[in-house]
Amino acid sequence: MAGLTDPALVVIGSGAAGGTIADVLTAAGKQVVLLEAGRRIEPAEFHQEDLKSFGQLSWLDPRVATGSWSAATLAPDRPAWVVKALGGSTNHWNGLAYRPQPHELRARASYGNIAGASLADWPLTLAQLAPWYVLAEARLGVTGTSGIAPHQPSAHYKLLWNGARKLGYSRISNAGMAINSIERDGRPACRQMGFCNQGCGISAKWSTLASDIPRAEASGRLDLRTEATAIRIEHDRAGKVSAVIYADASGAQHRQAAHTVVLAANSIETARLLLLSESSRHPAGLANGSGQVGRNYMRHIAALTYAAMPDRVNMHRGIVTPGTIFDEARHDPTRGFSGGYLMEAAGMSPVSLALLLNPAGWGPDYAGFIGRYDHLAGMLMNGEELPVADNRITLDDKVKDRLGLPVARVHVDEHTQTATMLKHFFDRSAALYRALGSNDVRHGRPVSATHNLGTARMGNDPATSVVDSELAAHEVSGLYIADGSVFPTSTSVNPTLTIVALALRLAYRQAGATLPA
Amino acid sequence: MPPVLTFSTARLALSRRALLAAGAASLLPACAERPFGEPDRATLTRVAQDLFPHPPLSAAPYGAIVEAGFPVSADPKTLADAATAARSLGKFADLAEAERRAMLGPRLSEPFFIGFRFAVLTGLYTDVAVTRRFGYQGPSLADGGYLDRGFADLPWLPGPGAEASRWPV
Repeated sequence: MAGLTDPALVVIGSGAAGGTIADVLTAAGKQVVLLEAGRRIEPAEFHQEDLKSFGQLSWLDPRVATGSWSAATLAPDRPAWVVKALGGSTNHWNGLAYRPQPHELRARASYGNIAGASLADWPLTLAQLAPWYVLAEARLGVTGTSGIAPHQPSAHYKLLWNGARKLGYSRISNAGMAINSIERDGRPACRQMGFCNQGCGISAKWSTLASDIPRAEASGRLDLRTEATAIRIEHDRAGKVSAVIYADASGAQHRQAAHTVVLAANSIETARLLLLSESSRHPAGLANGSGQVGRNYMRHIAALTYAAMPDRVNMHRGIVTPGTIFDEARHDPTRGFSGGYLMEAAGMSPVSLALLLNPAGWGPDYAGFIGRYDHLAGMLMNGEELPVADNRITLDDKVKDRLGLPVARVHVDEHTQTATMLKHFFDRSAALYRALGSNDVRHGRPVSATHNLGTARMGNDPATSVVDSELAAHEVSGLYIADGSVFPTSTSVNPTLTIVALALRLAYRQAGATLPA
Repeated sequence: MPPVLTFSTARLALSRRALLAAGAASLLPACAERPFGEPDRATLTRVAQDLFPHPPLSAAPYGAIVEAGFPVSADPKTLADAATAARSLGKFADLAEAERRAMLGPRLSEPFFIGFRFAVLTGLYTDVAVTRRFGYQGPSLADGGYLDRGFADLPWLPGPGAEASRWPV
């Protein structure tokens, strides 16, 4: 263990960003202190039962949800479903490793000025990021890239594909998945078990728990501290980061001196930690002279459509999200909204479906639908949610965590465009299943957010953003932010691949390394 | 109380109306004098069946959920609340199905029935003996997943060729 008083390079959070950075830096010969709030749970301990897994992996510490979104009434203490464990939310992600579209990184230029939205262009283009995506795809073992074969289509994906063709869609694929189709990276090929969101018991799915962190440990240069909750980042008189205060499992506090801090605690906690780190020099929170810390919190616009089909589908067999339709991801303002959405086939267990489809559902009609389980098929919508300045993380003035610190208050009032995009998705997804003979199609919306983005926006102007295009805080030397909180906009695609690409770019530059040719 | 009743996802079912109703729990009859007993169990089992009815199932899995939620060893307040809720429904099990549904609907925003609905939902749909009858097979790791057990079977629709796995699209 590094000495607490020896200034260290400290990474906060071990998920997609923090785990990747710890691996790259230790491989480059650097010593890294990695702080993870959760404990280590080995893949052999994962549960193939949704509720047990939920209790095992979830971040269950209190938060407060406010605003017009359903979490404020249905899950007021748990607005987000993210993981608290070594490896972070790479344990429960689906493995969908998609690149955004070029126009999505120029959202302000592409969509124009939309009332009520705080659109911005990314300070990086997709072309600038392309080499980092290539590297990220190779590290994660993304099917369809790096010479890796796609998976054999599952029944649930075949059904989606057939329906998509009936609607005239053409951009449909089961590739782009960070789930091994072959043995690779010391991890086996997928056995089509299902339960991708409960942690992959055989590590066929990429996670930092299965891949990056063990590699970093093997380097001998990783100082991993689990159940270590960062509660404050300090700076010196010159304004440079100087230490991270963290609490261990017993609640005892420690001060780790730091010359560099990489903050990657998932958008909600990242913003909360900055706000908790106020000082006389940063009275509104660390690196928050712009007032932008916590603002522009985005999820994705998420919804679900499930349908009873004329014959068996068995959607629980195989990869949970076995393929996606990309046609509606285009920007086409004639649909009444800007940006677009993905249609991702998604298997769900009976208990999760019954909980989510209609949170108040009961009676013969509702139970009858669940009871047709082996005939059910379904999909999730992953749509671009516009940034809104007042959708934001603040510190709650009443609720405190076990350490006595104010918890994050997550406020969301959905932009008016959200309802328009949702209706479009409900219409198109229903049409898809009806085209294949379904006469019972149902819709719902998940309550808690799983993609948490924004809150520490990346941009060139210190007056309107928190970090620059190198992920360095404008106002605090030695402080970097590396998770999804830096996204200026949400794009229509799942965020993990972009988080890893940005993290790799930061880590290579910190290591003084150049990209492999 | 068993973990299933205290599990925080119970909040999924909470509505604003329910939160208001939580303050109005005193509308329920005063604490029952007789202990929670067999007639109360039978009433709640009938409620459980009406919440998530599956005609091929007997009353047994529903009764097991009631038994697990309100064992004799449960704390007195839990049992008293259950007795009060069951008795407030009168001769529920003797009513016709439509009458039972009409009676149950407005009660589901009360704190007891919010928790009870959640317990029945999670108890029933995590019972693999129940869900197997719908075709859900539960944990698959010990059986090697579905790679060799039908994950790609969809004989009633044409299978796509390599065009369904192009990348990027």
